[in-house]
Parts: sequence; structure tokens; C-alpha cells
Amino acid sequence: CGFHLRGQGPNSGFAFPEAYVDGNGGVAQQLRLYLPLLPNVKLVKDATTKGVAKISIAGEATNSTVLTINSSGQATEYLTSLVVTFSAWRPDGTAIMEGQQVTLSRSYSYDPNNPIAMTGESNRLVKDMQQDASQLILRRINAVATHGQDAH
Amino acid sequence: AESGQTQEDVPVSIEADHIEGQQPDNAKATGDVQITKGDEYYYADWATYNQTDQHLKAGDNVRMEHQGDVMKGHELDYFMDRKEGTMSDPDYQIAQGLGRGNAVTLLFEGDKIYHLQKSRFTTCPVDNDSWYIHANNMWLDYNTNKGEATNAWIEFKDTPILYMPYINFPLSDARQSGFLAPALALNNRNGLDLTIPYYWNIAPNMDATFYPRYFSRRGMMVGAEFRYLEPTYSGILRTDGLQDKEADMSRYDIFWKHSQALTDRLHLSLDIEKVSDDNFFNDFGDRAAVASQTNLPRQGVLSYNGDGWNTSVDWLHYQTLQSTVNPIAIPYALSPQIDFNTAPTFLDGKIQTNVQAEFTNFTHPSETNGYRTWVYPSVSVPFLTSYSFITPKIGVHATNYQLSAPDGTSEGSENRVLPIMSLDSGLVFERDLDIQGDSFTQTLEPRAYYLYIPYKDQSNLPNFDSALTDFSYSQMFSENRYTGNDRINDANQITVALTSRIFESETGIERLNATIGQRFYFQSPRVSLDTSDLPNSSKSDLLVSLGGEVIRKLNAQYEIQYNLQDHTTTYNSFNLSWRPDVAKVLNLRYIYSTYTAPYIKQIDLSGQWPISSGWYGIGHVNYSLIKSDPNRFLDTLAGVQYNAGCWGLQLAAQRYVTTDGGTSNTYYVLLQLGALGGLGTNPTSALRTAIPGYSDISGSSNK
Amino acid sequence: ATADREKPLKVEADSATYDQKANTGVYTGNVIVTQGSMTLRSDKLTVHQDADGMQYSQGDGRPVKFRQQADDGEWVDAESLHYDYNQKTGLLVLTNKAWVRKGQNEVFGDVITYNLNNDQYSATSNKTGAGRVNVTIVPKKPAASGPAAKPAPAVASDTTSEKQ
Repeated sequence: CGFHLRGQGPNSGFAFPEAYVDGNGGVAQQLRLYLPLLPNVKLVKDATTKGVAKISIAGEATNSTVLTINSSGQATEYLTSLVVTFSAWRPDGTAIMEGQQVTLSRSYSYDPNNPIAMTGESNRLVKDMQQDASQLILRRINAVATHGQDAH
Repeated sequence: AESGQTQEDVPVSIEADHIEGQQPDNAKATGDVQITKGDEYYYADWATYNQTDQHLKAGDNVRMEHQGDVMKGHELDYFMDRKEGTMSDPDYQIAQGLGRGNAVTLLFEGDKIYHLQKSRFTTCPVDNDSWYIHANNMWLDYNTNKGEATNAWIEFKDTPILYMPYINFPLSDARQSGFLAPALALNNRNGLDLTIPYYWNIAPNMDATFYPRYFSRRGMMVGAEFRYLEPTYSGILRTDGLQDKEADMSRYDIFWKHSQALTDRLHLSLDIEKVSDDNFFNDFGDRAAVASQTNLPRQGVLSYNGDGWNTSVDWLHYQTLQSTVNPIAIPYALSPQIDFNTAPTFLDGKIQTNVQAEFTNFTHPSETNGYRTWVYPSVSVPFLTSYSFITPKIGVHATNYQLSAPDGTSEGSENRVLPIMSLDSGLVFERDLDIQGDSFTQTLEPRAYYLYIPYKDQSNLPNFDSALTDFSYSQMFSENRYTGNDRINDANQITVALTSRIFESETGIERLNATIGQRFYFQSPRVSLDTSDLPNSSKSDLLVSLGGEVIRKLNAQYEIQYNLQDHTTTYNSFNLSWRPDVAKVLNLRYIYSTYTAPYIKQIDLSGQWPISSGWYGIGHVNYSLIKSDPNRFLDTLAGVQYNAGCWGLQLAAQRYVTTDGGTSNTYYVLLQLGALGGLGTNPTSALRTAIPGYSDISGSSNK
Repeated sequence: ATADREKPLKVEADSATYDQKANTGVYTGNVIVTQGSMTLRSDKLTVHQDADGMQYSQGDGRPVKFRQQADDGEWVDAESLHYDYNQKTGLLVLTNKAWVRKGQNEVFGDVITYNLNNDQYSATSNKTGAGRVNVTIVPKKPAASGPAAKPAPAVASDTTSEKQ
């Protein structure tokens, strides 16, 4: 059915040999953990190194709101969302993409009797979304970086 | 001042049919006089100009233009350098037509500062007299963009609707200070509810809003919200107070959120919320989400970010708003909780370690108190190729409890040490797809996650912060079915899932995502908070989820968790959201969930749609499909909005259930007057949460 | 300056005629009248002196050019196609594309009447034409000097005119 292991796929690993990740939120941390594991890219730690692709996680905003209430007016589901704003530049400094956004959300059932546990659940879901977001961001940068070059 | 020339040496040029005078000291011009000074233009039938004090007199229908401001009047007596003077019987258009009106006298009190006596003011275009502010005295200061008026009254469609001894209002769309639109409402709990918010733009980084709010049945509530933004700290402080006639008690709320960077590594954040009584939000909240608040946090967090590690100290107490219908347990307090974590990597990132540690002093008025300390070091060695990953992880979770009764008498100590081992693995297959000419990439991602945690009886351990979580894709691949750290589930299980995603090749944006997954228990779990948590078969529910941006601007999401054993559905949700255009939104959500007690089965429909030119319909229905539910309509709202360019009207009716078993029924009228009105306090904020994707059309956009 | 009045007045011209009985002199061609700081250039100039020595002169030029230093040191320049000067009233009337500038302050107009005694001027446009009067006043630092008396470009009686 045409599937092949990603190794041969159009965008595998990372589009540049070296990358620096800027940002101190959870998504940036996930990227810094994930990039060194990729076979063909090296994570650069020093911000001043030149000639290196740069990923900047400008903002990570989380928000938790009531999603559903039950017939006695109490919240039964909460929705936790994460909005990540990021930009990326090629090694020569030209922008791959700027001010892009990834929005993720997870709902969870809310037990008003144990608010501390609920905060714990919300934090766990945020960590999970941070991991997803880092993957989605990498894929978007790869796609635009590789296609961008083909397109020009 | 004009560039290059200081204000003084800008030449004054006079053109007329006839001019006489003494050069350069004075000039008297008659006959279609035009006077120009820099970017100020004056036209009159006659004018006299005295150069020593740049005193200009002009008359018989004089017209003055300066940077878009146009003043027409009978006689002008004006000192050009000081920009002070008077104009009789003026008719003015200010700031590129943002504001206009007329008056008996116009006094110029400095650059762009106009003082109008017995005047009227509007932001509607010339041919539109929908509303005016009349005032004995009105000051328009276009440097601070603030207008003020005394003995003012608002005339709307030729009928006076509101008298105010003093108001001030914004003169531009910039973050303005001034008079938000009056919000009138009729509520079954409070009677007539009139809020006249008054916004005060104190400084570029500080502003406040005052909310005098009158209830016909409860009296006058005074509210104030103060926002501050400094380089190292920012926050919001809000408080409302009322001597409640009906309930015959004083009622108040305090709400303070503050965050501050003490140093570049040390950060403080405060979140203090308190209300006077359990029913405060039921009575004064403006929407279901507010009314459903049950635990108000009083929290202080001090956090420190080291290089590669961080720690935080968290004090947290809750005020629990008791519900007579559905009583809530008093939650534990963290007095305090200190946590520490670090995630050093070795061998150039190939070996990832993680050390989490936490000490908590749990206090409770009636339940067991205790110090709980746990540490959870773990190491994982992910092997990644571009088409696969294998991540073995091993850790040890050690916990110590020092328990005591509420009165302090010791209740002994408990320990629990558990190894946690997991092996996560997955492959990624990809293929290119062409759908209607667009190129996509489809992935097929099988994943298997094996988890082993030996059983240890934890029934004698207290439960401070653990709760069973919903079975979901993210929970399937986590180490513990319980949040918190009081219960660590024993596990000898493997979770398998198959995910397929479709990405746009050009942008890499995920358009569709489908997943099917299930967990298989080699040994059935025995650790539980309450025996009903335990799965009743060797297989978990089957999870299927499907969704994405099916077509442009139409987003759909479907998820079901199905118990194959007893052929029942544990969770099922379906979301549809169509947002073809600004202010065109339709949302549908169906939710069936047994994770909540009692279970919920609801439909939620919301939308905003243009009806005819300038008119928009808004609606929201949250309907419970459970026949036995006392209130089937949980939250309904219907309304219309009209945007006439320089004014806007909102009419809405809303009914939602409250935690005291009753409902809150409100009819809203909100009038927004041009640049005058920001957003009313309600119902717009109610709409924003009720209708995801809602866009406020009655901003002050002047057609 | 006012001192110009006591200065000798010199008139040069391509040609000049003098009518003894009417006590009128007519100068034509590059007529240049100088008296102290004042110079007046025109194509044609006629000067008449009345019984008690008051002079009436008028002239045409393309344009007539008048220049004199006022008491406060600023130069007054004026131009017009035709001018009339009446020493008795002290009025200098410039007609047709008239222009006067003192320092940076200017007056344009069809007819400008300039009172040399009190520095008063009056400029009008002739209603028929599209012409307008235009005055530019450059506000300067509050001028220290008060209105100074003005000289009169009177043509002294002892004209030394070269006969053609």
C-alpha cells in the first residue's frame, strides 16, 4: 500500500545538521531532549554559535477552563490548552517561519473533591501536549525547510 | 513642533483681498482671508493678527483646521503660540472625524486640549445623529486621549437615557480610559442589575476599572479591578463589596493574581481568591463557568530555575464553596509542598536521567495529616532512528509518610519503595498522498508500551492527592493510572496503538489524525483507590479517536472508549466546529462520560451568525440528555447584536444552573457608544466562553 | 534710515528733460535714483516739485525696484510695475504686481500703499483680477527697537542731472 519506513520518507530527522533551541519552557526542553537523539543532527548549546539553524520557542501559554457542568451546576470536565508560538531560521539567518502557532488541548473529567489531584492531572496533560507540540513543530520546520528550498 | 523649526519661528502667511497693517507687527485682512501657520489653517471673512503675542482675531464664520481637527464658529480669539483662546458658537470635528459636535463656546486650553461649554459630542459620522453626550462642561484632551464631562447626559435616538454628574470617556481606540458602556440586566436573583463600568487609564503600564453595580433587590455593589505591568512584576487585583439588603449580610470577593521575577532565576507567583459566602458566584457570577467554581485557591509559589534543575515551594489552601445539593469534601492544604527536579543527560544526550523529589506537609481539619516525602530517580536510554524508536526506562519510586491525626498525635509512618520499568517502542511508516492536487504525507505509527511495576499493598496509605484518571491516549502511555503519588498502580501490561496522521507536505501542518489502541493486562491490577477502579478483564477498553481539519475551516473530532467485555461505552465525544468567517461560528459537541460521578450525557450547541446588515444572532444551548436530570437545560443563551458602526447594541437572555440547585436567569441589554464603549462587563464575556471562536463585532469600528 | 533725507540725491538716466514752467523733470531709460541707503531703479521717472518744495514723483519699470535700510537696520525692498510717491503725505503707492519685503516679512498685492512716516502699509487686490494680497510675517524674537521713523526718498531740489 505504498508505505515505507520513514528512513526513506521525504522528511526524516531534521533538515539541518546543527540546531540551537532557544526558550526556557517545557516545549523547548522537549526539543533539546529530542534533537540529540536524531541520527543526523547535533544540538548546539551555545547561543552565539553562527551558521547554525535556530528554533525559538517564543511563548508557551497554558490555560485551564471549565468545559462541561452537570445538572447541579458543578464543573464536570475541564479543558487544558497549550498555545505555543515559535519561529525558526536557517543557518544563514534567513527565516524559515516566524510567529507560527501550534494549539493543542486535552479535556479531563474534574472531581471537585480532590482539586490537588486535578491540578496534577492538568500538569501531566500539559507535559504530554508539550511533547506532542515539539514533534509537530519539528515536522513543520522540516516540511517548510525542505519544501521551501524545492519551491524556490 | 514642526521639524527643524521651533514653534516660535514658523512663518505666518496671510492671504486676503485686502490687507493693511504695520510690518511685521500687525496686519488686518478682509475679504476671504486665509491664514497659514505650519500645519494650522484659518479661514475667515476678516482677521487681525498681532505678531508680538501671535494674537489672532477672526470673525464672521471662521474655520480653523489643524492635523485633522476642524473647528467652525462665529468668532475666534486665539493666541497661536500658547494655543489658547476662545471660539464662539463652534461646530467641531476632531481627530480625523473620530469625534464631532457643537457648543456655545469652545475654549482652547493648550495644544489639542479643548474645553467646550454647553456642548454635545458624538463619534458618529456627520450624517448620523444616533447618539450624543450633552454636557455643561466638556474637556477633550487629545494628548491623553481622554474626554471628561460634568453634568452630562446621554441622548440616544433623540431620547435622553442616562444622566451622570461626571463621566470621562476615551477619545480613541487606543487602550482607553473612560466610560465602558452601561450594562443593564434583569436577573431572577438580583432584580434589576445596572453596571456602569468606569475605566481609568492611569499610566501606560497601569489601569483600573471601577464597577459601581446597582441591584434593585440587593443594593449597590462597588467593584474595582486594578491591573499593573512593570518590567519585573505584573498582576491584577479585583475586589467587590456589597451590603446585601436581601440576604442581610455583607458580601465581598477578593481576587489577586501577581507574578514577579525576584531575580532572573527566582520567581514568585501569588493567586489569592476569597469570597464571603458559598453562593457569591451563584448570585453575582456572569456565566456557568464562574458559577461552577467550587475550590478557590489561596496559593503562593516561589520557584527557582537552576542550570538544568529547578525547585519550587508551594503554599496552597482552598476555600471550598459548599454546595447544598452536591456536598464537596474539604480538600487538603499544602503547607507547604517543596518539589525538586533535574534531568541531566549523559553521553551527548543519549542517556537521559530524571530525578524528581517532593516533600509535602498535607494538613486537613478532620482527615489524617502527614508529611509525605518521595523521590523518583529514573534513567532512560532512547534508541532513535528516523523510522523507529525504542526507549527502555527504569526508575525507583520511594515514598515515606509521617502521619498524624488532625490534633497532632502521631499515627506512625509508612514506606513504599517500588521499581518502575517500561519499554516504549514504535515504528513510523510514511507514504505520499495526492488529494485533489494537494500533496500530503500520511504516516502509519504502530506503538507498543510495556510497563512493569510490582504490586505492593497500599490500602493502608492515606490519599492526599491521588485520583483515577480517565483512560485516554495520553494516559494509555503513562506509568500510573492515578494522578498524584499516593497510589502507584501495580502493572504488568502492554499497551498497543496504531496512529495514522495526514500532514500537508508543504507546511507540515497536521490535517487528520486517527488512532486505535488498547491495553492488555498480563496480571490484573490490584492497587486501587476504590475497588470499582479495577478493570474487570484482561483487556482495557478499546480506544478509537479520529479527527482534524476535515475541510478548510471545518474541524471535527470523534473519540470513543468501548468496553469489549461488557459491550458498553465508557466515554464518547464528538466535536464539530465550523468557522467559515469572522463572526460566523457554529459549534456542536456531544459528550457521554462515565468518568464523572454521576455520568454525563450532553449536547452543546453554540453559534454566532450574521442575520442581516449589521445584525448578528448569537446562541448557546447546553442540554443534558439524561432524562432523570432535574435541570435538562444546563446553560442556554440567546441574543442578537447590532453594530451600527458608531454604536452597538446587544440583547441577550441567559439561563444556567447554579450549585445551589437553582438557576440564574438573566436578560441583558448592553449599549455601546462608538469609541466611547469598550466591551461591556457582560454579556460579552459570557459569550466568549459560551461560544468558542466568538468574535466581538460590536467593537468601536467606525464605518 | 531717517538720516538718508539729509543725504544728497543723485539721479542717473539715459535721458532727461526738464519743464521749467511746470517745475517737472522727466527721466527715461535706466533711471537710478540714489540718496543715502535708498536706491530706486525704474525705466521712466517723472518728478514734480510744488510751491513749498514738496516733491511728487511717479515711475514705471519692469519692475520698479526700491531698496532702503530702515532705522532698525533691516532692509526694505519693494517692487511694482508702477509707483507714485507723495512726500507731503509720505505715501508711497505701488501698483500692479506690487511687493514689499522688510527683513523676512513680505507683502504681495495688486496695490500696496506704504506710509513711510509710520511704516503703515495697506495692500488690496483689484477686484477685477484674480489677484490676491499675501502677507508673510516671520515672528522674530520680540523686537527690541520700537517703530523707527522712516526716511523719505525725497528727491532733493539740487538735482544734478546730466543732460543728454
